[in-house]
Amino acid sequence: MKRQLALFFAIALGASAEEPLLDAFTRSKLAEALGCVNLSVDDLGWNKRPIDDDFRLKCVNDTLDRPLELADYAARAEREFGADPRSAAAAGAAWLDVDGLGTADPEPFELDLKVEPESARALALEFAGTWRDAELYRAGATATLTPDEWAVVKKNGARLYLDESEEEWDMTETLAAAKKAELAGYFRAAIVLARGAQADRKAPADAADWKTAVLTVRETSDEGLKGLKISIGGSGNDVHEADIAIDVGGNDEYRNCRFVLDFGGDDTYRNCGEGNFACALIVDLAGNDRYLNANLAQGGAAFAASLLVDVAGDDRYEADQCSQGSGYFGVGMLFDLGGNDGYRGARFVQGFAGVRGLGVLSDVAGNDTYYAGGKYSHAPLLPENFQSLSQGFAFGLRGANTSGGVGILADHAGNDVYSAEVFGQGASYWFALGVLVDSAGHDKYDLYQYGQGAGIHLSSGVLFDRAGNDAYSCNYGVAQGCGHDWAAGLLLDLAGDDYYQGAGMTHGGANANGLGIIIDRRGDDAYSGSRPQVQGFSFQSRGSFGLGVLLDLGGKDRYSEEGRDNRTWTKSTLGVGLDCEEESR
Amino acid sequence: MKRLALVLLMALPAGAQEDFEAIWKEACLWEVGSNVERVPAARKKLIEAGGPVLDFLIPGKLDAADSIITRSLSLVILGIAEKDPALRKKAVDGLAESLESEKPVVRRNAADLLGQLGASETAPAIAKLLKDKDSRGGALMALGAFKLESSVPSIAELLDAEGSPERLRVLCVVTLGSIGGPEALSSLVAHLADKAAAVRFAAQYALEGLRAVETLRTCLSDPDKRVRLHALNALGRIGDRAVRTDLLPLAGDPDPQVRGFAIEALISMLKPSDRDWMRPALEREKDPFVKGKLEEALRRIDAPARPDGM
Repeated sequence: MKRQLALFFAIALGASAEEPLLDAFTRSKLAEALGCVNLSVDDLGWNKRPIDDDFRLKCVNDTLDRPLELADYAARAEREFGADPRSAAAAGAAWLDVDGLGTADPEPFELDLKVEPESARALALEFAGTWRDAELYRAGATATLTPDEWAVVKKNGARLYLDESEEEWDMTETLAAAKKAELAGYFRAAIVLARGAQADRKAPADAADWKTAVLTVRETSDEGLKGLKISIGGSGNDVHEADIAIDVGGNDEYRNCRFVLDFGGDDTYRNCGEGNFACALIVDLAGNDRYLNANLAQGGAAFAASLLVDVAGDDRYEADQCSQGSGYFGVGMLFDLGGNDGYRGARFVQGFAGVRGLGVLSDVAGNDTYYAGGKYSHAPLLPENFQSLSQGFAFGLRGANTSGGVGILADHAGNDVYSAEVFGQGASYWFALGVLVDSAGHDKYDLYQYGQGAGIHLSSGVLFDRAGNDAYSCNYGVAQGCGHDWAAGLLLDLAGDDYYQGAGMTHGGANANGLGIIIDRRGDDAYSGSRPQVQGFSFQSRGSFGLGVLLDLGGKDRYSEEGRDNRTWTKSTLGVGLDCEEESR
Repeated sequence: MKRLALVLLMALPAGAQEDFEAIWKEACLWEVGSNVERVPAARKKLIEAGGPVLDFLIPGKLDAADSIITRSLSLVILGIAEKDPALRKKAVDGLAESLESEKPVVRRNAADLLGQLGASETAPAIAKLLKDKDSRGGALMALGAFKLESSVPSIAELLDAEGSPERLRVLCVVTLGSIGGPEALSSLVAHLADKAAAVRFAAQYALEGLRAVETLRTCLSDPDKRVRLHALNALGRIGDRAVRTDLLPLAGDPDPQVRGFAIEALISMLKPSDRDWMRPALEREKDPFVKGKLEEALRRIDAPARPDGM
């Protein structure tokens, strides 16, 4: 069943790769709309990046210079971050401009483990090997740092996104040292972890012979493995507290484990798989599981690689920050391949990336619920609301003039609910790229402000929904295809009867020289704005223009402003809307 | 220069330096939400303290790129200068000296602030910064504020220089729009056909700001359609009814873009009698953009404009 599912998605995603998301008709109508404001498609490349820095990614510059490529990046995210962590880890490297990963594995090592039966011994050896190889690559990534630089990075590296004091601190020294970290090492580690994940594993034939045991590694040729604690679990309900835990069945509880392989049962993971300057791997093959963490877990990594693969079951993920597919100076990925899942976190979660990071959450099947917020106030701007910075979100460090990474949330099926407060859902802040892709189902997107296909301050974001009757809601605007301050945002919905509700700078809105585009390709849709600055809106700033574009290319639609079926309208300083039917070509 | 800054700081009473530092920190917070009252109060305190605050800020706090800080610098320094001509002179002298700072951001902010103070006597020194790639943005802002037509040729030269970045070129256009005059107008019209859209639109907005109706009227027959459309758009936004007779024929232009832009421009200068030609035109019209503009115009004739101006 799982293999069939994976095959189905491979085929579906492969097929979708054949046709660009912005087809010829869409492009011709965009050109027509732009003509109504005296612009061409080439003009969309006005300069949105007046400054540069050493951390800038090509995909960020690409999407600021050629904003329509946001659709191509969304298609790539859908295609490359599916059900296969290994191909995802390899593909992810290109997003962060890393090439030349190489194929050479570390030197073999000797390890003697006294555990029975043989299948338990083999798996323990395999996981110890995965641990050792991933850690070697992780350590290699920062091998060129001097001891002083390493000390600074070790002291302050995680704090780049986890400092809750709200006190400003000078990140210069930390970033200067961290810049020397070679991302290729983290991606090599991620590939090693993905190789170890093997979602199609079968429970060992002799599982009934497994006995619960804990052993400590002593006889090994690899110093890094000495003292490693490995816990083996049988078919009963076990409690594991070890570096590595492998369990063939039962409803188990894991505490503070870094690497876990669990073959079945409804399990609880407490503080496991934390990727804070350490590689982490959790593979759970069946059961309704609960994952409970604070920070940098559930596929959350800083200066490391971290992977969580949950193959089946209705699972609950709870974390505070930088988790559930989150990375900075590293790679964090979470793959959930089946079941109706719930994700809950406070901030920087569910496909989040900071500087030099890739954060990916790929949920392949089921009706899922995502919530981010409720803890960190957005004072002073919105003291009664909470920050989310999640759900396909990436975040550069503006105060340190340091570009961000790539945050991707890809949900491939089911009727899903996305809920966030301030900043989220296919958006980014300060020279970064945020992508939210939903491939199927009737979905609900709820946000307070800043997101749903938005670039915020010299940054890019895209929300792509392939199918279904969807509802998008945003209380306070700057959303649903919005570029805020030399930024680019795209919301692309290809099919279904959709409802868009927003406030200002929404439904193709821009300010301060940004570009915001919303494209709804098919279906009977409704657009409602609580303020008039919606549905193709922007204003003059810094002596020149920004641009808001709304394209609705099919169906009977309703607009709260001047839009109508089969009409083109312009408004504000430079905003345009175009509604048409494809048959009218 | 560093020595000068040190001497100025040392001239402050020991406690004052620390007090100002704390107040300045508050004055530079983001003036939103829960800071809405706090930030202006801090700025007010600094303005009331007068001269010693100038010594604290110039040049010590000029090395700031963050627009929240530069805005605070502007509000406080201008606030102090307004109180007393002697304090204004003190600010101008300090800023003029800072034009030679080794720090580009200090030079840029000093020029910008001198412009805001209207210290046109420093224009020659500021004009020299146009050749300084790190601080010419501040120089342009200042020269725009001084409105010195004599600086137009050097600004136009910078605008047309090979390799000038797009953002700088936009700023040149904005500055020309602030200064005005025949030479500036000529340069602005030429850039309605610029290859960079940001520059083209900046030129249009600058011409609007100058209410250059006659100049724009001549552009209505320009061979470049983009220039004609910019002129139509600008004339509509200026709303001078004197050009109605120039626009009306273009409402029947064979090119639907030109028709649409002409009708949109006419919306700001409609007469009830326009119904008589617009209704038949709407029945004949096939282009969705032009139809929308005709409908918008007819709605506007029949009903007052929305209070929100949309």
